[in-house]
Amino acid sequence: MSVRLTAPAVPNPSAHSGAAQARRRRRMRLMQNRALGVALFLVLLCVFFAALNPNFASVGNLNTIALNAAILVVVACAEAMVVITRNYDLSVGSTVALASYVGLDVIRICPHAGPILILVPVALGALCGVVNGALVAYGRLPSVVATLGTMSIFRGLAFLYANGGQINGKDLPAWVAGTATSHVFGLSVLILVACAVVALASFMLGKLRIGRKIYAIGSNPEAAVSYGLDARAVVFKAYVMAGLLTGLAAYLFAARASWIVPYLAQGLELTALAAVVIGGVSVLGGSGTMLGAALGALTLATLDNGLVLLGASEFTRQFIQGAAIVIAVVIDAIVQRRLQDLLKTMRSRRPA
Amino acid sequence: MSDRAATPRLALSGIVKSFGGIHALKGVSFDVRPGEIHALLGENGAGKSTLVKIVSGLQTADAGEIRLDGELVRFKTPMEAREAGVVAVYQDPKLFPHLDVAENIFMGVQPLDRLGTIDNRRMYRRARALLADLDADLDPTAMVAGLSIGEVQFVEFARAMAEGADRLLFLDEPTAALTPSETERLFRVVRRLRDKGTSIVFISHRLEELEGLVDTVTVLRDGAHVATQSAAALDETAVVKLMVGRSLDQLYPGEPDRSASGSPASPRGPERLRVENLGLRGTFDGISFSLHGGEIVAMAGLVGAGRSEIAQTIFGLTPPTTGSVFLDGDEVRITSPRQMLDLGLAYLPEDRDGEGLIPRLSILRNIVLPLMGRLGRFGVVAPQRERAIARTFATNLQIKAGNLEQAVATLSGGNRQKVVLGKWLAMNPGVLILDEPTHGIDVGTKAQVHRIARALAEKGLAILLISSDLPEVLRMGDRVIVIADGRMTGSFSRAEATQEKIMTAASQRGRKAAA
Repeated sequence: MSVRLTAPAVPNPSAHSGAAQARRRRRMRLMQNRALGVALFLVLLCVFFAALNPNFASVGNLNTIALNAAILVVVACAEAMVVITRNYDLSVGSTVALASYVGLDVIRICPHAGPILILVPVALGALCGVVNGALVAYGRLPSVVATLGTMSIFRGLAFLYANGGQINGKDLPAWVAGTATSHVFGLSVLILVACAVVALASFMLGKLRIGRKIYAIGSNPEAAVSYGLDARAVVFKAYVMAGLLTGLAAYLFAARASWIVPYLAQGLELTALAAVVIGGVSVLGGSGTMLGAALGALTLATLDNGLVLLGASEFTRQFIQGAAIVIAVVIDAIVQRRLQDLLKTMRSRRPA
Repeated sequence: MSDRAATPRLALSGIVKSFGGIHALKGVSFDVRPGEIHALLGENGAGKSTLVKIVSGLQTADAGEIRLDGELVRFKTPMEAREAGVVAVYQDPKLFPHLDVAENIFMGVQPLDRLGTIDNRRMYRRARALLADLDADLDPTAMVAGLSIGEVQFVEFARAMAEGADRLLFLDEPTAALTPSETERLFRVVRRLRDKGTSIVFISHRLEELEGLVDTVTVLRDGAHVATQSAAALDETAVVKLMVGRSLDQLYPGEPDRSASGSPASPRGPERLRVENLGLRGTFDGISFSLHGGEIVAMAGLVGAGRSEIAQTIFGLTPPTTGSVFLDGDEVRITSPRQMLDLGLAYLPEDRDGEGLIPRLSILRNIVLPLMGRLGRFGVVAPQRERAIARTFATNLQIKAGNLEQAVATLSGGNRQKVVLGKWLAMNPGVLILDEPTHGIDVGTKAQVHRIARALAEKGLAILLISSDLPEVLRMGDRVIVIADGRMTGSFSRAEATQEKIMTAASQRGRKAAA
């Protein structure tokens, strides 16, 4: 029975000056706004590479970076949505493989139905999200374990469906490849789609009730209960939306590839998670933005491109990317610890 | 129960709730009239918070009826209750630290514009208005993680107002974290709400502050309804009597009541522990007492008065900022629990699962864990020695288990408590601090723990018993010290101590806002 008396409290010993209080709050706010820090880092990175290799800053190369980053941006947004609820999705790579192989096979079979069939891979991705969401939100499985399982399941299904085969891009209607190569207002459609996804997802997270609930549940699941928020429904919806975006990414992946094979996008879940973490989304949930996740993806693409231009070996690139991830996680840990400390002082003033 | 108004705002009848065999509420029935401030009083564990959670939809009753303005209701979630105009501010506020004040106030009920998106301008404007209404000097855009606990409480109040608590508002210990001026502000709001016709159910332990505020008083005791009376007809003494009024024999059947004898149960030995003017900044100060071998000193007080903090400071978890501690006459500069254990002082924490035990390990492993350093020879521990020690304590303490290899997680609360006790006793301490050793365990095991503690004292141990359970304090303590607000507010010999005296000392406001 946890019904206890609570004592008259020790009056707040640090009812400090308003100025100190305000300063502390500003600092907290700044720490929360880590997208800014990522943007700053990205600019420094670009200046660094440009100084070492003049080719880096060429319009052509910057366009290549953006193109390479575009799909990862979409996947990173999907991953971030789930991470903000204090969960993970390790199945995004497999979802891409399943949705692109099966989805594009449907397009191959019915070439005359037209671009409306883009909805097939998108729907397949959403379906994968439904499975993940059901397991995590309603089955109450730890998300790492559940999505580790579906990672194998989705990939296995893609292989089963493919039955040793592969899809040649040449067998697909021309509009599929056209998605990846055409431009609107001089900008690649891929980049435009990525920008649209970031804008829409930001709008959803920032301006809709469901979006704020996603943050609330990641911030303090216990409080969500006493607020009467339906945490399960919210986590489920976050997974479905993430699946939907991953399905979209699957289509874009396929549009860029000349061959579609079931082992497409292997390891994408880790790259996406890396982008999310570098982008300042807390792995402990409750904070982070879509813009941050997108900048994280852009940072990874920039790092990769710049290092290639500098002639760095594959191993060096892996090493440096790994280091970037570790540094990002350390920064996250420091910020989270400060937050926890603040919470603790908050609580200790009311021992209960 | 008066029936001046035709239908009561809230009518409870026969509310029953139990948690794993422990009855938190045993058929509680009473009414709350429209537009009154109704105090809900009772000791620790009387069932007040459970009742609030049931009416507000956070928990559901096992049996019983709830009527709101005559209409039968059974809220399944706090959202449902909120829609019916019933809102609760729970005892310890739970907010979203990453989000700002306005977002916390309006989470889930944000004002929307025509397109169905959140209208931020309106939300922040309304948040500002609500906070101004509460006289709370708070920026709606401030992040909650940076707020003080008093400020957090005001965010909670603002939240309750935002939801339109127009029928029934529960405030569970709302003033516990507030300074007197903040409390005054809150009371103004509460009165204003009442005048608008909202009924307020107010839980508090500061009896003195209820005077002149509440209209009606309901007292619960051990999960049962004791009385509902007009506040004008009651004074503090009468309320305290209603809260504690029970005889010890009822609680511990078949055990002799020694508290009447007036003399220590075991011979008083040499002084083992002396604490002088001990303080921890912001938590407690000016604590002085001594413990002799063979005696049990009970430390009473309300939950949150700082008793556990004092014990943890003596044990070295949070070294003190002022004062000194003497063990067997020698002053000790406290640095760590390791050091205190080596000096023969052991602390049995209240949260035995969190701090005292490793639930997945066996009874044997748990008991010998702190001993590893001592049993080992060149780092290798002889299994027979471990087993022998564990068996001794398991037998002495009557731990009920199939064998010593059984995981601690599978044991009952009482038996887990005994394992923790065995673990520290294996260290052979001279001073033992027991923090709420019988909290949440059944009456039979409770009596057993009492016998064990007494037997240990008779063997010459000095025991400090922290307990919020008044009958336990009275029956076990050779002396009783009372802590309120991080200060000592009373010290009684066995002969002097009564439930009323302890309760009165415990509800004193130890320290004014000056600190």
